[in-house]
Amino acid sequence: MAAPAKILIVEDNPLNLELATDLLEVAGYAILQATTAERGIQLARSLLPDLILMDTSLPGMDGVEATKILKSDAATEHIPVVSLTANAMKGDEETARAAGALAYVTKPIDTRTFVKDISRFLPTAKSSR
Amino acid sequence: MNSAATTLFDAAELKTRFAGKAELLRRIIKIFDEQTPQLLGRLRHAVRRGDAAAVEWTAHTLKGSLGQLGAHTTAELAAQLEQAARTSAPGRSEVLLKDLEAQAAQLQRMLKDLANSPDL
Repeated sequence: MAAPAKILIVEDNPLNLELATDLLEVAGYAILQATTAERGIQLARSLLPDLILMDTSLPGMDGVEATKILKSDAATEHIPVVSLTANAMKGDEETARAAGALAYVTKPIDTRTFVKDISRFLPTAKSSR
Repeated sequence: MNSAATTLFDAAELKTRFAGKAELLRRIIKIFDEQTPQLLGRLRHAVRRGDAAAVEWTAHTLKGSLGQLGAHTTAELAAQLEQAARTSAPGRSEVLLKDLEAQAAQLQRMLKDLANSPDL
């Protein structure tokens, strides 16, 4: 059986990190966690996840900047990045997309739709366990 | 539950959003219960020493957690505190923080009751 798809979650709030992790783990995905952009970039480069869920507001380097770095690196540019943001403001989607994010999911996380919202951005050959 | 408390947090909405995921909701409430005093302590300290960046960042984190738990009124207070820090309004920050502390304490009690409730 194929290995489950690996999803890297970059999120600094432990409450949101636990929530996103649990929902995706229960759905059968393998989860990697980072609480800073710098650590997220490091994990993305070394472990090459199938998808990255990137909080836009992070301490220090923000998620938009981290996405730009990942998208300008030949080793990680192919990995789809989905932005996770609390700022449901006009312009945020454009900012995330301009940085190279494929899509945009808003917080608060809706436990009923979250897995479906995320998993549709995984490469088709990869799925849950 | 009195009417003031009811407006702080909608238990029915939260139960619906976590339908079939009671254990997950209990864990999330536990994290909220652990992180809230820490975040409020950091906020109090940051407001006292006039560290606008720390106030803004900590209020932002608390706002995220409150929003996730459906505590929209208190999340709005945290958003106002975040904004007050951004616009350098220290007097306003003091007032908002006091309200935030009071509401958060009430919310912690209500969420704990919900987590301990057998019909969650």
